[in-house]
Amino acid sequence: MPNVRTPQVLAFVNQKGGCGKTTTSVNLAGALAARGERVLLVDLDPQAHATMALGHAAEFPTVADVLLEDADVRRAIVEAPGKIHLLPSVPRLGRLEEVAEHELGPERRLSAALDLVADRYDHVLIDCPPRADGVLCANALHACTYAVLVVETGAFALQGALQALHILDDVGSNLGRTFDVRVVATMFDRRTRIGRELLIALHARFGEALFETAIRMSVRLREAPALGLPVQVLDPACRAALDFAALAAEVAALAAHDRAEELAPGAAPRAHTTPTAPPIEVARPLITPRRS
Amino acid sequence: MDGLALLCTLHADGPATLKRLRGVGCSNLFELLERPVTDLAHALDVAPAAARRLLREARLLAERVGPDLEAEDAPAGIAPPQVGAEPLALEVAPATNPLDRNDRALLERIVREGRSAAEPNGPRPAPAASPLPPLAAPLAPLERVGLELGVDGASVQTEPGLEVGGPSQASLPGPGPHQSQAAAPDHAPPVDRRAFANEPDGIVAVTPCPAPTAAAQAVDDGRALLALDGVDAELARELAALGFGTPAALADADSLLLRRELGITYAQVKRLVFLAKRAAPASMSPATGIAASGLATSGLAASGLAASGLAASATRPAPAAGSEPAPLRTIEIPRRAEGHRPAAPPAPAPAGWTAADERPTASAAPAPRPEPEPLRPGTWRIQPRTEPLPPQVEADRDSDAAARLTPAPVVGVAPLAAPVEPVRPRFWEPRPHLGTAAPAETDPTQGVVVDPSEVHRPRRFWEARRATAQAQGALEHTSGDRKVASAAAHATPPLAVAPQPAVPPASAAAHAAPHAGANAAAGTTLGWNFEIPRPELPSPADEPPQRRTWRPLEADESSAGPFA
Repeated sequence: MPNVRTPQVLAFVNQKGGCGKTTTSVNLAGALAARGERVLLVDLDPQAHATMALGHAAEFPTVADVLLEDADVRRAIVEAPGKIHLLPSVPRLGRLEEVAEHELGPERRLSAALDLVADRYDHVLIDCPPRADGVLCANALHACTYAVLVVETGAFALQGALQALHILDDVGSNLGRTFDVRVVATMFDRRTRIGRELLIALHARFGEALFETAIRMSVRLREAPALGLPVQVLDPACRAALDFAALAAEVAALAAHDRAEELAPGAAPRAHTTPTAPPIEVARPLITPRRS
Repeated sequence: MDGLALLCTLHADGPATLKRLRGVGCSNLFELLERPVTDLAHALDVAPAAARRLLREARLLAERVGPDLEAEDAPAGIAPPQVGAEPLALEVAPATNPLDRNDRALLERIVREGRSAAEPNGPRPAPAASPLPPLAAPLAPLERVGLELGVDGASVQTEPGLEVGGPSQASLPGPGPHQSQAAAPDHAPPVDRRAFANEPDGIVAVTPCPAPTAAAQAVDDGRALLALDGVDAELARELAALGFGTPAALADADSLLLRRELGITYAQVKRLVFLAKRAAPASMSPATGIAASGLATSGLAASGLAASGLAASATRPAPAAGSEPAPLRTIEIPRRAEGHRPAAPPAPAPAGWTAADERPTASAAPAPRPEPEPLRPGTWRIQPRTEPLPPQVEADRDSDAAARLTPAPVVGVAPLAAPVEPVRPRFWEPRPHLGTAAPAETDPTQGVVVDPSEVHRPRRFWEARRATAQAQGALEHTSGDRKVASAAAHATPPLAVAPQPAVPPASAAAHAAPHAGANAAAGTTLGWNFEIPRPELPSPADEPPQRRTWRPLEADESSAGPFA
């Protein structure tokens, strides 16, 4: 069996909307690409905000065609500003929720599609829709190695995070797999007491699972999607770019640590699929889940 | 996220500060706390005050996050903070003796007098230097009785009902047939066995009067401080544990010490001390002072006991073994003394009462109600109805029957005069000072007559800019009253086009997205064209001569701004 290098797949999830999933995934992809990593950003949100944030007008084929009509994912991937490879989305992707009940193993379609491009990327970032218990998010959770819980440091942040954790547990048990959960705090404003208190509460609750970098509020983060650029391209010296650079460094270190564990002598090889695998094997997850 | 990253995110510049700290060898909060201020200020390139503030926040954060997350990072030489994850909740170890020095001296004196009174050979001379035994040590039974009852030993010894087996056993009646429960009077107060659970058999304590016992206990657990506004039970307990169990003690407390020990702000401590100072004189009164009634004014308490006759049952025979213990009576101490309560507003008088009716008091016998004063003419007094009401007729409002019906006379209601509506001027009528009145004459001697020709108009900003451009020899292309930003937008024959500086595009967006359009090079925001299309300029032959035309601004008209 050839030694296929498995990418690190991060799924940015939260059942709450407006907490910064798209912003985090787009700009983290830009920061990773700025570090020289090979990054694929999968827009799995029918709202297609990540696609629009990178200034791309969705054309055929998109991720909807990949998941609904078995289009070739290699033809759907486009190049976006900031050396990011993008798998764009269209609102038609929402139909997957409707047709999923008639399909067999609908949550495995994305992992099967990513299996074809696994050797091309170091990091695959999946921007999930707000609904955490839908089939789209199940696709992301089935393909991911890390579920990154994006938590806004605002009202009901801790409650929402705990609720999302319960949902992730339920989805993981339904999928028959587990995954590591990491938490990233977004929209942090240290001038507000509630922001500071919530960050301390998140630190007390999640500990090491919380990324060291909290994404701070920045005007650049609002301007960059309007220009269709990652914030690293718009203003590499701004505060938001520095935050995402630090977060990218953490993610890269995490991936390096995983690879070191994978390559360590005596370590169990992580399961992966190959293009020559039988069809039933294709449907298996791209990356073996890690035990948390 | 470790504590150092959390600190940098909360109180510093986030990842940049974290990178600097780790660059100088700080990997956790404890290593940061070991750093001197000067080194930290040099490492972070900040002022020493900022470094000092960061160290202070690091210390507070280390206390707050607790040892759970940081214990593994703590080096062997530094003990991790012992405070739990509860924010800013300093756990104060319960003090063995929360009484202050004065209270201890008073207790010593009371116990000494009681002991001397119990001696058969008369009172012993007091030692020159009375060694104060630690109150945490177990006291003698007599002392405990004295402490528990708050009375001096003399009153205990001289009680006629006290049967002693010997001089040294004045308060230790042994078990005997006369100590059965039947011998105890039925109206005897209940027995508190809790305080004497470890004493020899036969010792019981009576809680006849809650004031002295509760006083010492209130000082112990700080209930005497509950009268202060904003002091809850927990804070009072902490204050008592620190030795400030009374408002008088709290009034003399060091604010900085309290702030450091309690973890509250300095302003809160100052207000607490202020409230304690205000409440301290009131708390010393016998009616309201809980601590003072039992300790400082023990004589009053003792006399109160003797007067009430409850001191006679200070010690009494214990019930027989196996008998049903008497129920315990709980002592309730009001959270707020009576003297601190605001004066209650007078209860509203019930309907029908007049000013002559006074509120009946419990002390005085109900006096016969005085005769009502004769009414003045024109006043009404509510009287019970004696006549039946006339039948109500349901009639149409517009019918004549309704007009013929007269309303039933209402008994006891004063006839009201018709309300007089205030006369308001119509809004369309001119105000006197606006329409009719002549304007006020001004004093011609006041003010300064200014010739408008002598007033120099301030220079407009575009005039200054244009003058600067002319001074530099660069002419700007103008069209009408509007300055054109890009040469390609209009084909009007320009006078000259200002040379573009050889610098990269002004905005990073234009630099990053050159495909955004030609307008991106023009410096427009977001690459969009905000140029407003102008109307076509009429030709000179078509326009009437008297009409003002749009024409290019000449160089000598530079002093005239737009819309001048």
